[in-house]
Amino acid sequence: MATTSSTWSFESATPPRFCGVDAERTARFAALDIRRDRPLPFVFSAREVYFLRRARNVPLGLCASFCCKESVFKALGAPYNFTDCEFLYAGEPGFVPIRLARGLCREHRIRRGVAIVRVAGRGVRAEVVVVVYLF
Amino acid sequence: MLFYVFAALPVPALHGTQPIPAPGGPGANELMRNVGPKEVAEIRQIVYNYFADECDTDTAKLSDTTNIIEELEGDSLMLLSLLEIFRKKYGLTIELKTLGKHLMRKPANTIGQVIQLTTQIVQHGDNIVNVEL
Repeated sequence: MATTSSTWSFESATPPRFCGVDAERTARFAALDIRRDRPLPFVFSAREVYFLRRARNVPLGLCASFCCKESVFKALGAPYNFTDCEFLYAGEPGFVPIRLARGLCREHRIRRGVAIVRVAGRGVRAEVVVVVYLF
Repeated sequence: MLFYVFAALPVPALHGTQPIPAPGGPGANELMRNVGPKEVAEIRQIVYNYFADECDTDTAKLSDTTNIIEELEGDSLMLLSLLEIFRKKYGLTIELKTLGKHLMRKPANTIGQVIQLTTQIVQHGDNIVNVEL
């Protein structure tokens, strides 16, 4: 993976409780067929797959979702069921809300989460970095 | 705006910890599965072939002591993809949280450890967290 560098600033009325980051290449998700199947059901929820079936760039959406889940894992520092964290990314800039299961929120005493996605490169060479803030 | 997209999606919410249905193995967690030498050999073969294929190397160059992260540059996505193969084959319904807890207690860094872990998952399912390896 190529080295990428970026600086982000973050302001919030409420300080985040946890923060996590993860990066991955979109090419690793290119082979997953979501049109007829629900790949990696341990990882992606039915809602995410349903959402991404209509996305323009499916590998990017899957990659961003996976990175988000990994970032949440790193932020919490504890394993959880990845389907308890849903991230519907369609390429929008800025902070994107993360949908977290109530049980997960209760267990880790968090209320909500947001993620910001950075994409470097294009096509099969694109790399995704996701930073997650949990409040 | 995305909040509205969430609300508009007609898919039923799948949050929670219900096991994911897998082909060929309903109730896999309810009973301990017998894993004989034939199944262990099969698991070994699948794991070796998987890492050889994923890491563009020959199975002859791999051994039980090969470190997946340091020598093969493996990661969590590889492990999850491998888990998916076994889910389809054996109908695994283990939860990722359970597996994660187990891995934090007993990491699987080498191919041999992954084979052992996979065998235990196939055998014990979600009960793996209570199994002393």
